[in-house]
Amino acid sequence: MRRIRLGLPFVALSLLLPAIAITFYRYAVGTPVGEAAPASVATLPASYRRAVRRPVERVQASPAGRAASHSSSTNVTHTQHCALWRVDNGFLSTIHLKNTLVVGPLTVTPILFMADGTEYDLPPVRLVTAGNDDLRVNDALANAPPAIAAHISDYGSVELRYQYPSPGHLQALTEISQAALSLTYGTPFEGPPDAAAGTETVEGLWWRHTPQVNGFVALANTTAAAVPVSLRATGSLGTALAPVAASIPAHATRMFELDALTRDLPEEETRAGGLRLQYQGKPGAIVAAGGLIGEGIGYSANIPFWPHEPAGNSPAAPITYASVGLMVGQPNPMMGFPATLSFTPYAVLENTTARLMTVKMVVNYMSGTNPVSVAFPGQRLNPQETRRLDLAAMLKRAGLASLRGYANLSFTYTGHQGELLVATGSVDPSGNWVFPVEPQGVARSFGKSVGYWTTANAMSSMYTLWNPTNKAQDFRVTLFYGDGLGRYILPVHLAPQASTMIDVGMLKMELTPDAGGNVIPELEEEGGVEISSPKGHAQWMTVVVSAAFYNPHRGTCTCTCVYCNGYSNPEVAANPFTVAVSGNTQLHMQMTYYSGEVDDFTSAANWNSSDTSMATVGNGSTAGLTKGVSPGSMSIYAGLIGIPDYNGDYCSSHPQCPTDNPQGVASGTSLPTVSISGGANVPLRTGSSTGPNSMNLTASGSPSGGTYNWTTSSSKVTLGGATSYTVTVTAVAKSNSIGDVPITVTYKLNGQSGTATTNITVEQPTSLALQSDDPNGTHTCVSGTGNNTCTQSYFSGGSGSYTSYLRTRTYHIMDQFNPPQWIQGYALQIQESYTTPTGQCAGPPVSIGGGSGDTIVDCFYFCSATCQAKGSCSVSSTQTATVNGFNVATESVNWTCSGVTVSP
Amino acid sequence: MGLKGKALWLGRLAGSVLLVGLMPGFAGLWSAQARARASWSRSVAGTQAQILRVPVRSFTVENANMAEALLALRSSDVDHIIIGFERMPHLPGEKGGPISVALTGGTVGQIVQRLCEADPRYEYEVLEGAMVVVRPQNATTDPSDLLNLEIQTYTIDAKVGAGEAIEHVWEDAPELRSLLRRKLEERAKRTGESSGFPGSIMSGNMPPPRFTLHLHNVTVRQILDAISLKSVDMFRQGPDYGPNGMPLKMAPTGWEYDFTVDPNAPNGLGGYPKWTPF
Repeated sequence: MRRIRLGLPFVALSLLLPAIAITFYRYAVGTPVGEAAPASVATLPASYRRAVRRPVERVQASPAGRAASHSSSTNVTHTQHCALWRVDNGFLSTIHLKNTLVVGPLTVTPILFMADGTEYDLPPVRLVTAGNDDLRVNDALANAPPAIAAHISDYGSVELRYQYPSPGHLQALTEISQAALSLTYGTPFEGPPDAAAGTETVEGLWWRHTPQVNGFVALANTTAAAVPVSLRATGSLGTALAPVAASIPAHATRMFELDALTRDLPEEETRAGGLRLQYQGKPGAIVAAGGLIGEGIGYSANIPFWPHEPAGNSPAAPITYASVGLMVGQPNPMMGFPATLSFTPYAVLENTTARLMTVKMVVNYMSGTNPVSVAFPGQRLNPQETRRLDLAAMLKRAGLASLRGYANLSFTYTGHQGELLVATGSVDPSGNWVFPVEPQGVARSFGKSVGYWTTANAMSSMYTLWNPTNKAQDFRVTLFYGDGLGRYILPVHLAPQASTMIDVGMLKMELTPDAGGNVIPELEEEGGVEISSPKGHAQWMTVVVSAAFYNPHRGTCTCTCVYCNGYSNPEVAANPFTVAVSGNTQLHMQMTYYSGEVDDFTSAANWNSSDTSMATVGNGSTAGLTKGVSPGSMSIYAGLIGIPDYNGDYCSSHPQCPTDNPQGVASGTSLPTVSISGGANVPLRTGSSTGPNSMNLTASGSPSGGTYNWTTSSSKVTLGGATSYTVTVTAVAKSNSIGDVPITVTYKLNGQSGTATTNITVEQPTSLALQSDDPNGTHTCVSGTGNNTCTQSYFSGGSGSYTSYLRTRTYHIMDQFNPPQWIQGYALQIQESYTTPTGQCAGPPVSIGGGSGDTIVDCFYFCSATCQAKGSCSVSSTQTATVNGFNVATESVNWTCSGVTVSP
Repeated sequence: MGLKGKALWLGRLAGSVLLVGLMPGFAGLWSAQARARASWSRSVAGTQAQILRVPVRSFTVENANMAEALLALRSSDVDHIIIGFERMPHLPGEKGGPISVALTGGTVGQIVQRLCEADPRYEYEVLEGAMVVVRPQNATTDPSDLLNLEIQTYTIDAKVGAGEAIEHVWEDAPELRSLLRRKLEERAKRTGESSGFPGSIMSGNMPPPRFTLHLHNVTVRQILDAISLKSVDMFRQGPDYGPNGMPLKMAPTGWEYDFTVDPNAPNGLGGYPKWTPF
């Protein structure tokens, strides 16, 4: 077996392989299996503490509240870090990228940092919607530009940058493998948490499958300044060595050999132990990765590094971890392992505290279709003790020596996160086939996801789901593949305590159709996985998931991170908003799911107003309905409690999925209201006409006490008294189209304004529309002045009088449009005039009338002694009718003894 | 009505008439509405020439006659510039004249003064501080001027506008009506021609408020003045707009007397007299 050594200049430590990078951001109270796990309010940022009122059970997304688009917020640059890549001694480092967005593509910029901190920016990678891509670090280094080449090292760290309004939409993993030696490690990417700087403690756990197994620890500085660190090793019985101190330059990576770190331990304590990393700074400033390697036997496993919750953060509580899918005995022949291969599970526990710790253990397995749970004897761990459990013996004592397939192990203790470290897996007797299983906290969540599955290069991917509760649960397992649009959906029903294993390779090989009859195309070899509720996103579930991709022929298996799906970017829409006093505006609370979909939480949220004298907001059936009370500004808050949040910074090791009490806020302005009453048209007049050419508009503002200001952008009218609640609108020029004169009133109160606009029309009297014409008219023109009968006229009393009302015509006064509109409602000034009469009986001027209104009645009469004597007589003249000074009709009128003709 | 009312009316006119040119003598005038108007009259005491101070932003006429010039002035502010105008007798179709005036930022007084200077055949007078009357020099003493005809009793009490009252003054003033009839009959007798009397009573469906005026021992000219001043009163009293925003009243009305000379006019007057709102 070839020994792998790193020719690193920094220490005499020969370095070997990778492990799991650990950063930690939230500390929550652990909960028993199946119990609700609201976040401890005391640990939440102040901004999240305001609206803690609603029990978490009420949190369900509105069924119909799903929004189709992503948040409208502006883009933010997000970063994620991976502690290690390495390319020495035949190692290949491959970065697997997964875009969790189902609403759009994601462009990622990878940055390789050399061991000395030199930055090497790689070309951006565009991930299609929900798509995957891979990046080979070895190839990138081989093509490095000269400026970088001088700094190229055998290992380093990676940073990924992308822009999106909400965080966590990139799931990534660096796979470090040496296929020829059957070695593989996986190091996930995690984002820097938003937490204050302090003393950060990260606990690690190592064990030696055989005495020859060595290991390494890589520490990467993700910041732009040097960070001093200390790294201390402890033995299996708790002996603590002096810590190794080092300063890690900006973006640099340091590696330590496990043998060197543990060299001074007593011989009896060298088969297992702990590592404690400490530094001053923000969580995530130093990311750690480590690996164990049995050079001669092809043994490889990650060294877990878990965050240690600072003392005093929260009271001690029961915490349960579960490792599911531990291979036991001979595996399923369909999985492709050598026929003689047999697995034995292993478990290593470390008590990182200075007190005794009791760990309860339960083994669970499927007997046919029935789940069986058996309690193992509790493990009492001494302070700082690391214990390798003989699971084979424990199974035998429990009568399970013949157990075949897989089993699930749970570990329960009372304390805090990071006080118990657990490493589990299965290994064959040769030590070459190592199938590690990363334990996962048992608590409820909103679904989970895995960023990577593969069936390429004779690999397969395996997922185990365990229902740790005493209630049956239904899940929906979705395998994304191809360009992200491909989805293979498996409904999974798990009875209480039941578990199942899904092997992607077998699904493909057996062409097993999903619920929709789809099969994963043979050529599709990569994708991601989502475990969700069939009811939707924001649905509680309790499920433990393990995920790994493996090569049954080479004996490699790489664990992949299982993410807790959740929400980010709580928002209240619209923001900002306005609401009219006494009016309503419906606001919505929404958050962005890990998939980028924006879900509505309006009805589930607890709504509050910062100033109920300005606006109130409803809850329950009127959730989010904001009502203006008085003019002014206020903020409307919508809060939820215990919602799984998602920042892409969480991967295993936590007792439960992190939760927040998200709160959205919108800045609102309550505006006074104002309305306008009055006419929609105003007539025009010309010359010396005394007819109406104005009207009053009246505004009504609410609440009262404000000021008014009237404006118009039109030159067709002038406004008088524009600062009063009434305004006089005087016509200046006729409209070109109906309603082309906007008149706006602004009502101002308490510094806030409401506006209303009315569109009016300036109408010019232009024509008359004949409504009736009675050639034998009875006289109805009694409202005018003048003499209505010949006997009353000054012409009466002569040689003979004769009264004849010959014709009555009525007209509507019409405007300038086509078709003309009746100018209604105004007492328009009506006038008429005649030319000097001509004709046989021409004499005095034609007697005329006049009046006011929107309708004209014109009565024609003729008084003639000749007519009275049965003679013949006629007079002609031209009539001109004017309305408001505008000529609206010119007609020829001919009076005779028998009648009057009017033309045209 | 008694003597007290008559004295008020006369005193008011005497104190408010500003005469340029020959001060006309006029007969006593009595109005049943004088009491009501007296209160407004007192309120404007000392501002008899108020109308002369009404600003006119821009005024331009060129080669116009007085009728055209005054129409331009009147049209510039119908609500506040009220004019009574007796035109010089003229032939049919006469247009244009000697008046060319351009004034920016002036007043009614300045403009009327300039107009009368441009056509010195005219003089002007201010009534009640609210109305300018422009007439030919010596018109008030011309015995052939129909406006100087004395009317013993003039009464109007109908839902008509001031304009209609002016148009029909020749029918509503008994002595004027009789004179016109007599002239017509004299001509008919002389020529043997019988005239027909055509008419067209045009009215609207929204009659104005009742217009009431009772005058005694006045001239036709004073009737016209009283009608116009009454329209000013009515315009200044009461609300301008109703609750629905519609205007409640028309602008005040001036008057125009026009006599078109035609020796062959069938009315026997040697021309056509016309009384119209202005």
